[in-house]
Amino acid sequence: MTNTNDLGFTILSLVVFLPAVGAIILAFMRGQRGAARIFALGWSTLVFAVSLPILFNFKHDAAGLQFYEYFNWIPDWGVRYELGLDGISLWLVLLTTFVTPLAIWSAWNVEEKTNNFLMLILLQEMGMLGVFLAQDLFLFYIFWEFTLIPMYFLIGIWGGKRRIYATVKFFLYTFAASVFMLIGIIALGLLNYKYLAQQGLPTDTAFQVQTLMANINQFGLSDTELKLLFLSFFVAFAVKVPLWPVHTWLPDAHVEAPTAGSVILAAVLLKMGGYGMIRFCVQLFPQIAQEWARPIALLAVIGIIYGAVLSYAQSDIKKLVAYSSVSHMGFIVLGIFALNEVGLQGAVLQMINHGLSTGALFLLIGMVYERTHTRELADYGGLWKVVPVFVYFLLFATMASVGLPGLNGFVGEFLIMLGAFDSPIGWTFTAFAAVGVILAAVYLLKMFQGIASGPFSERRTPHLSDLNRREVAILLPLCILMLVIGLYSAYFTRPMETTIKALEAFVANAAPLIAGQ
Amino acid sequence: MNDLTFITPEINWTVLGMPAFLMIWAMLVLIVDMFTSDRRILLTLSLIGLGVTAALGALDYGATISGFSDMLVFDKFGVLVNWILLAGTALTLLIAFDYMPRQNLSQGEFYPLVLFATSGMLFLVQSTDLVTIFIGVETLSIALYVLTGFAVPQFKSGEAAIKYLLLGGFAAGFLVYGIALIYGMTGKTNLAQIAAELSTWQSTGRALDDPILLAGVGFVLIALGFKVSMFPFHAWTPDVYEGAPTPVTAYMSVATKGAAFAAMLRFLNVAFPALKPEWQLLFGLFAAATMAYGNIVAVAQSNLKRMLAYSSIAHAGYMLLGVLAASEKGISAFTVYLLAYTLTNLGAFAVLIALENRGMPVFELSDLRGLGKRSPLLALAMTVFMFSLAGVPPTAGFASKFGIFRAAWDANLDYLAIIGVVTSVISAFFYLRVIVTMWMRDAEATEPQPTYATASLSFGVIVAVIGIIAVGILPNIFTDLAKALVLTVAP
Repeated sequence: MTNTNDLGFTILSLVVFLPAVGAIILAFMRGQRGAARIFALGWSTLVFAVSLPILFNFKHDAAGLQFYEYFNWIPDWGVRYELGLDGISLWLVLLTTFVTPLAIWSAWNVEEKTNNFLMLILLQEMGMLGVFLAQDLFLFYIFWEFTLIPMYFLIGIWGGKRRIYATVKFFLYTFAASVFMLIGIIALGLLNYKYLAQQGLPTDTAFQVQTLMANINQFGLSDTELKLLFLSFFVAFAVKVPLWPVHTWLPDAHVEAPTAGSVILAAVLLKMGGYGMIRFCVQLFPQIAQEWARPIALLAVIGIIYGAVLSYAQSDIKKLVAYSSVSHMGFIVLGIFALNEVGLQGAVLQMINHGLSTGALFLLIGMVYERTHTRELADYGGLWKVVPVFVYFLLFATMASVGLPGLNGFVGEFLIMLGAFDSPIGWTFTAFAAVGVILAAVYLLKMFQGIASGPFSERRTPHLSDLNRREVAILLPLCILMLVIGLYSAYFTRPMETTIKALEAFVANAAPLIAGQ
Repeated sequence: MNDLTFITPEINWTVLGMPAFLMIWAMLVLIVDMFTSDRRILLTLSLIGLGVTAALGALDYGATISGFSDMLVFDKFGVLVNWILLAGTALTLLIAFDYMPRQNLSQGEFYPLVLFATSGMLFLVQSTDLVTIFIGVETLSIALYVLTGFAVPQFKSGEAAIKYLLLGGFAAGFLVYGIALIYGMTGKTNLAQIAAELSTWQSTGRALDDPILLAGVGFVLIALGFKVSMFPFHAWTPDVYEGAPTPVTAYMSVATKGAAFAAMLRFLNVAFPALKPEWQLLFGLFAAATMAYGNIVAVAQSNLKRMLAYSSIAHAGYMLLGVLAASEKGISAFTVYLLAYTLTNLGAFAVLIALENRGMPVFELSDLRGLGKRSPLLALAMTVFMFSLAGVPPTAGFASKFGIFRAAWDANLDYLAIIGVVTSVISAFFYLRVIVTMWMRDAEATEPQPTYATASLSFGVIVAVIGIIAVGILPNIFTDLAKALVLTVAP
């Protein structure tokens, strides 16, 4: 394995596969539920600790991939094992390692097949980290599809009443969308292989993203072929984000998933779609991304409004938050296809923000559901008086999600709209997106009011007790981060600045190519 | 060389070694069976025979030796496919070991019969002449007819055997007729000589699309298509697979298919490269229909054995893509696919065998309910097999499908690659249903069925799982092996 970082060891591989090692150890801890829980929490915290040196050794002013490591995996096919990280993936990796221990800690009350549950969460973590770090299309696809397996079981075994329907829909929907990406990957890999062979260059990097970025204009592809290739990737990512109108798996999956599953799904899994759009759709096909920025932005804006309206119409709290994800993820797509520095920065930052605030909301809903066993908004009311600590946290997470200035959501949405306004997408779409922000306040405050104020009913929401220390300890780190990002977002945007500037320049320079052809 | 004089062929033991040794060894096992009723001795002897046969291939691995007036060849491709077939046979014997007596099928002839069939397959894989192809096909078929009816007190087994025998007889008729037509037109039966003859046709301006020649090629392909259960010659598959004793079904679904495909590969690529556009087009349609039909009909099955039968039809379609690509990439992808499919399908059938009770086959999907609770390891193995059949990473099923689609795309068969991925999604639906049933649905209130995960069966399952993960994560181990062999097939 060739390693190019200063740390002296292949830190990215370590971070990716450490969770899998933990899962294997857990397999040998059968029958020791308590010990397994503590071990899983400790181990995932260790993974987080191991991932921190990446942040501290990350060079802010370097544009390319850092901590780059590779070995020739399947030379015959032109496939390499390649991991690398830049300003775009940095925070997503850290978000993953940060959220996983919290999700594990939130699953303290899972009594059934605890070991398997914890193993699957760790395997899920491995898959997601691999997605954010893989720099070879084949490797990326393996991790991308692998993330389906643990989540499929998490929803299917530990989920709610309609879990089987939800999990099969989740799997088939995303699997069906992803296989077209496989065709795109095969086509690109073969074209690159032929091109490299023709140029007398080594062919073992045929599937490498960097090589493809450099060579794709030399393949002599027609406009239509490029568009089809773009689509093959875009559809897979659009389903994952999920973009309207391919979002329908999300509410089912979210509602039926166990709390820890919902948290991981909302906080990290959806971000894989946004990340993929930046890394592959924009980086490999900058011309098409520019040409189609407006139609895609239209879908994003429809998603923002549609998700918001449906969210308002829900009587089930978890479904309400699930539809709010559709709306919020629309902003992220809008920011990406602004294709300028501000919009992209906002999009990446908003991915983190959404991960934190929606993750917190799902945690809170899970905590109250464990006590009351109802998710009907109509059953709630007056919790302000009964469980004040819970309500404080709910207020905080709601406000962050609404986009109150001073908290994280505001910064991300502001940057996105600024970027979109300043791009060819233009002010009309941005104006509609702004309506989405107002609607977010409407439906989220409806939820908050419905839960916190009004008369309290002991009969419909019995056995309420306030958050215990463990639950506070889970929520506190999330809330602190929301506040820190809201007050000092520069710390988070600075590491990605160089990468995103380079990306913006790359996209801008790609434009004449299409005009000249 | 004068065609009219009879030449006594020189016996080349390197070329004939693998099939001949296995055939003789099978007879030996048959004799031993007369003196002992200890199944363990028979199993051990059979496994030793398979091991030695594999070693014979390794002795001269890498060489390309032609023998018996070029009717048989010893080359890398042949040896590699033979190894996969031998591995499949060994796994079959392991999973059948406890099953046969449990079903009251304790006749010792089972072991030599399987070895006879395998020997015919090895012979078929090494054949480079239409006559030897016929001998190979018949050798393996006769043993399989008997094996299909091995559980003969059961009505379904007898029915399956008759069905297979009758239809197999028709297929043999097609094969002979096709050979006769090709010989009539070209005056040759040797594959390479046929190609040479056709190229003189081309150089003298004689049209290649002679209807009689095309009919001959078509008839041979019908016979081989029958053996691999390619649509529309697949109709026997579900009934025969359902009726035959489960280990025999498992064996047929992988080994017969592999051997017949290898023969098809040689037949098309060595003898008829000149007609490539024609057979690529026609068989492209067949491959598309096979993938679509197998997967779509499998969705409607509630009987597991029938579901796997339709799934095996679908997988024949995928393997056909590798054959049709007619390139280095295609041939190497085909061998990788065959290996992955052999391990996966045998594993899946092994799990069925572990669940099958005497006299009352437990094959409805609902019988798998709650298996995740009853025997989690067996359910876990089945999960790996199902994900591999569906082609989900990081299993061998994915790596091999990737290779196949890549080869098809590279050979400008892009429409087949697209149909391939679309049908893969359809297949995910019914493979997932098995997983859902095992892990997410609770068993019915009735007494749970016992499982028979005996030592030999568990060993087979573990080997399959390890192999699937290994090929899935490190396909280069095998693609490197498969890379060097390809040129000997298509000179």
